[in-house]
Amino acid sequence: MEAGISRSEPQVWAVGGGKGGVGKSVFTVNLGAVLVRRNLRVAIVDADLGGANLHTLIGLDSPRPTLADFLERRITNLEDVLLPTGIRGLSLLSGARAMVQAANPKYAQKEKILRHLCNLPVDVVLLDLGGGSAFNVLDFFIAAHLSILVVVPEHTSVENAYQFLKAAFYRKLQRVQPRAEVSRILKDLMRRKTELGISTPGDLISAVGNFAPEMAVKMATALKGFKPTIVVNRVQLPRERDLADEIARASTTYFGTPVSAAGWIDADPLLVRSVQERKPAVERYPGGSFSKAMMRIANTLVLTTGL
Amino acid sequence: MMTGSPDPGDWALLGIEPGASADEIHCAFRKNIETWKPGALATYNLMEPEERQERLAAIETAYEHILASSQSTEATVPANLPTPVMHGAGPTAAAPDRESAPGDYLRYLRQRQGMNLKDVERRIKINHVQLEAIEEGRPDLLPAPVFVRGFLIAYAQLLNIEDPSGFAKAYLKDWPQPG
Repeated sequence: MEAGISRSEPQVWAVGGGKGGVGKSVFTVNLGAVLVRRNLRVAIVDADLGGANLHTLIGLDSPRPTLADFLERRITNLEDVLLPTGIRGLSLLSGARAMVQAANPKYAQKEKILRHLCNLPVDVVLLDLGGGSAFNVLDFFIAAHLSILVVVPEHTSVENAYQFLKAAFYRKLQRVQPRAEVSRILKDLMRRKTELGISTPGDLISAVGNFAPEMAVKMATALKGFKPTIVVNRVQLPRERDLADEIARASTTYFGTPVSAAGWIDADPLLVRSVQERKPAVERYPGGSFSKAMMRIANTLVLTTGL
Repeated sequence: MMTGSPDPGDWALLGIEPGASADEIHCAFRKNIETWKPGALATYNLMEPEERQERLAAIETAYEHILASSQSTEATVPANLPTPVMHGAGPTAAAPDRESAPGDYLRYLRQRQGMNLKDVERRIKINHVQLEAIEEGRPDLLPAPVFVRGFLIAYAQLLNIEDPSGFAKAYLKDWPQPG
């Protein structure tokens, strides 16, 4: 999954949230529609296999072909699955009709998908991940160049976001050396983590350092390459605007590795209307608060990634 | 009792660079308390309650260390700052008791050092209205105790009170806890 990235390859940005219904798909579609205005070619990918609906948000009813055709080997080249969206520069890789077994691909399959994603003739690949913290979601999240976590100002969403982040950190560390004996050590440490006082990825790395110093170094390096960023969606109260910063600050000190804030998005009735109209809000209502927030966030993300 | 000097970890804990301005230090402290206080949405269920208390205590200690060091190096501190040893007090000003009347004690020390509330506000960036509420012991006019503790530490440190965090703890001993 640690794809070697050359200049010509696209950047992969994953959008996760650990919870359904926080606005990941709407965020992804609109981020794509904003990025293309910078003369970037963008592919939005519906990686929410089993619950795909990016096509619906973009106004396509039953898109063909889809990722299912690639996973079931009817189409060998992922590039051939790209669909135009009607927005210049923006294409869609639909996850519609992907079967439930495809929703849980094997690790090798995920690597294959990622390899193909990195060969798409675009500048940015936006991966819309499903909810939850299953490995199929986590593995894409941690392999991306930029991992965006969408949260809403609700306790359940914040709670899920932390569960998701924790799981992502540990998965990232586990994948450093997926050899059997190493993963046994890790599993053992994780099982005894309360007793050993391991509550953060940093603690785990220290614990590993006690009997496998080289591996601990590798883990620390891997962790440095994983930089999640927080977006708070559907903000209603002024003080909720600080939430992204607060979560980023808390995560950075608690997990001992940098987590940034990409900004907040005010709840906007125009966004609801744009979803009903099945057009990206940034196209339909560019002056609305949602659209303005998306432009601000896109700016931040472009600066963060040096795109 | 020495409060200790800040190490790099103290600055990191508050998320600021060593040598940050007084303003940045207070602001960082308040933001951290806002983020980690019990019931904060931003850290909902991130950790066990005991771990949270430990973290809040660590933030406070770091804040205290940093304040102590920044004050000893601050150029605006008058060289002849009187010590808070009370037996030297003039005949008209009997020192209020540190334990039983901590608010009066703060006011007494402040006046002895020739500062008004606005002077203190300028120095430690805490609003004079809140400072007055602290001196008068008015929980109803002040934010939650976790914040007031920070104010008290900063204020006690400015006035050269021994063991600022112990003083803050004693001050807040009988305060109503937020529901």
